[in-house]
Amino acid sequence: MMKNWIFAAAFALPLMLGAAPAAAKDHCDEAVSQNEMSQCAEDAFDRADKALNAVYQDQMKGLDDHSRDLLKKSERAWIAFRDAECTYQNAANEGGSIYPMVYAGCESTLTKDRIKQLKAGQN
Amino acid sequence: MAMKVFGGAAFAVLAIFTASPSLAQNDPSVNCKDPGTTYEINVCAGRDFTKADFELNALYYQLYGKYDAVNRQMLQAAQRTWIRFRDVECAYETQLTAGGTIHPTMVTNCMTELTSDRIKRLKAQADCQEGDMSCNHP
Repeated sequence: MMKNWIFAAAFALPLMLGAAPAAAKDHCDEAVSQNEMSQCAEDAFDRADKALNAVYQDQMKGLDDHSRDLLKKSERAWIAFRDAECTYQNAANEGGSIYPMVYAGCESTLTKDRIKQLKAGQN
Repeated sequence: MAMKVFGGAAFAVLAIFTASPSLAQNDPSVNCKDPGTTYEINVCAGRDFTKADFELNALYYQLYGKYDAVNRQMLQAAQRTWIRFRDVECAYETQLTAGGTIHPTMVTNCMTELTSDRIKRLKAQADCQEGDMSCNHP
């Protein structure tokens, strides 16, 4: 009995671990309702934003006070730009149900570019 | 009267594109095919930036001309925040050369690079395909 349980657990665990990311991916690949698609776009932006924050914090660590101040100013200016740019790019969808999805998609794109930019400036 | 108002609006928008990092760029004696001195390198970087800035300016007006008042305001807000970002980002990226003779060139090159990125992004808006939801197409 015990042996069977261990046997089952040994197989089930990797299956469960393997299944989790795949299920998450499939969920967003096959999202059909606008709400689902918006949620997936917002989750994707959330991940990109966290990645950017990690790169930013990492760079801050290696800088003196003056440089930190410059980077902080630049990051704040970039956030203001991101918001104004995505508002502009998404203007045609204003009031529509796709607005949150397109806005999050725009934010993700700009955030990924910003990550590249910060990494390039690190050299 | 209407013409005058339009002229005023055009001038107000134009005023946001006045960045000129290198006045020496107008020096006609510099041949940018083979710049040698720091001065010449600086002059040539200034010419490159002016060219990119001019292209961005033209693209901006092309879009501005297509839009209604609300969209113009959004474009203008995006462009203003971008200019602010460009300036502070280049101050950050070029801090290591601050005080050196090469510094103006580094700042100018950074601005040219960011301007090229901005041109690509606005071009995507200018070349919007019907049905592309990520486009401003009033």
